[in-house]
Amino acid sequence: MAKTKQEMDSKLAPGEARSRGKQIQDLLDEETVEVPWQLRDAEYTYLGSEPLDRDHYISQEWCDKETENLWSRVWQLACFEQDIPEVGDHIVYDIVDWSFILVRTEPDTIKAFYNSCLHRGRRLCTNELEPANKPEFRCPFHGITWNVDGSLKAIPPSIEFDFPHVDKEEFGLPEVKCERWDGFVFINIDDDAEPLMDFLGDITKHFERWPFANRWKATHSAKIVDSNWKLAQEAFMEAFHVLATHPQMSIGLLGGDGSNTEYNIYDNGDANWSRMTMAPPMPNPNLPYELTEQELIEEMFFRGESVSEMGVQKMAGSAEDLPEGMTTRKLLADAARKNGPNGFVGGEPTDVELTSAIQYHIFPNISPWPGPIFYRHRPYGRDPDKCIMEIMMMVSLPEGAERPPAAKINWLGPDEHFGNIFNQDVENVAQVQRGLKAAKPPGGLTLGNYQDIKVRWHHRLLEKWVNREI
Amino acid sequence: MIQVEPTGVSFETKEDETIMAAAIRNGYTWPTICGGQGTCKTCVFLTLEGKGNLTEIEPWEAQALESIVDTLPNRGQGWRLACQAKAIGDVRVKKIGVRQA
Ligand code: FES
Ligand code: FES
Ligand SMILES: [Fe+2]
Repeated sequence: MAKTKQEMDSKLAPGEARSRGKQIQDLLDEETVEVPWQLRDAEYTYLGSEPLDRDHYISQEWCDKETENLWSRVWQLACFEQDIPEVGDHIVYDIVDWSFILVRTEPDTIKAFYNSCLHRGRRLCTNELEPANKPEFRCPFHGITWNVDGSLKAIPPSIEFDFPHVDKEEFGLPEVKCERWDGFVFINIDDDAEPLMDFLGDITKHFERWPFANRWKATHSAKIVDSNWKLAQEAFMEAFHVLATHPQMSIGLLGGDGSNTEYNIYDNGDANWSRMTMAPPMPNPNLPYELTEQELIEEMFFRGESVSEMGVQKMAGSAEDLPEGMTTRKLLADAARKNGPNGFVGGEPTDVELTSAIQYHIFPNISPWPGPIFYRHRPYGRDPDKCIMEIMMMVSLPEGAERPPAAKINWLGPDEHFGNIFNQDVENVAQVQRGLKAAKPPGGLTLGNYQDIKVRWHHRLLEKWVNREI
Repeated sequence: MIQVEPTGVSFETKEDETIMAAAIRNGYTWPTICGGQGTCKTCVFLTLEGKGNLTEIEPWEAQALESIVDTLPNRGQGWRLACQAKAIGDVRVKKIGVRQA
């Protein structure tokens, strides 16, 4: 394989080159508290630089293959336990053509049923993602009714004469595999699927530090986005688009442009999860001269409210009041520490945890953060050009605090936005979807060796599923 | 003449020369990542005095300023890109990170 010029000049193997300046692991060396092993568990494997097939995003045939070979067999997040806290509470989860009812049948039992009547097949529940508590599932078409545990409750007396062939004991709603981890409720359509915990692997150990079970889903927004579900998700799989797409981030880029982000894939890319960690604000190493920490702090105070949402101004009135040797990231970390960090166990949070966006992904479509943000991306039916993007705030509660009811889903209309930064991403991916169709240059898409590794990881696993190698 | 706070450095600009180019020619630093293409917006500065002595904002610069308006105090009023704006008289500005190279 041909080497890039940089690789030939510097004798680095492909994938070994990194951006200028400090890397995340260098910053961890400077921590004053114990660094959790999770942050040091930072694997990366070069997976080649073969072009990526555009059809993964735009072809109907590929989209149908995903339905048949991925969604029909993979573990996927249906809801959170807190969405259905009481016995009888249920919620609908849809994926492509399938629909499921998730219901709490006993205080500690959650079951999943196909959302389809056994008579003529009507959807039993139509309250998409809206939790509800009804003592039964009554089909709106002819009124046949099931108990919340899936057993048949009644065929209406006026029509019962016509169903002498129905064995009432056997006429329960078919169940689908449903397993839980740390407050998440997963389903799998494949009865022969491996256990959820085997599928998840070591990410469950990573999240022992940032548990989800007692977080609170404070907000939940959803939007239909004009791109393939993978494109929308990939907006959060690399950070080097910050320079061009989000120039307002990180104190107007003087505090970094996303190029010092760490990317991790595990087990040579075979693990079903990955991670990226964005560097906290520090003097941008890509400036043509060295910006000092003092200058960066001054810039932060100069920009004012707009960049220091964490009460920095309250801690220090002005840049001049700051102690010698203070860094921007330390200042932000201290402010976050004071405001109460988001659910750390097993020690003091590190500065990196407090000031960097750490984003995990679980194949195929969810992204839990140690911090409060959480994403899910689903296809929009069988349309390769659209998807459902969801953003939730999963906040940790102080110890002993009672958890308020989980937020219900809020569907944003075509002209409503998730927020400024997200909107820039949403606009991008819609343009990428169109751009992918605008031409078909030979050779597919050209990815970066390191910074696009999560994108490559995801497509590599996806191909294995689609080709039934998994 | 351009005077830059808080460091107080000052320099002359030539005709048709951007403020950033003039600073660099005179041996001063000016924050940039794109090298003056008007895409990175790191060169943005606040005009303190002499607003009328700067050339008009062209569409390219206007678009760039619009994209970062949320992170600028005062909704971006009085802010310009140093790689686009040229001076036709005395201007006093504020920009962090401008000093002897
Ligand atoms: S530069 Fe990345 S898509 Fe064009
Ligand atoms: S130097 Fe990049 S926008 Fe002016
Ligand atoms: Fe983004």
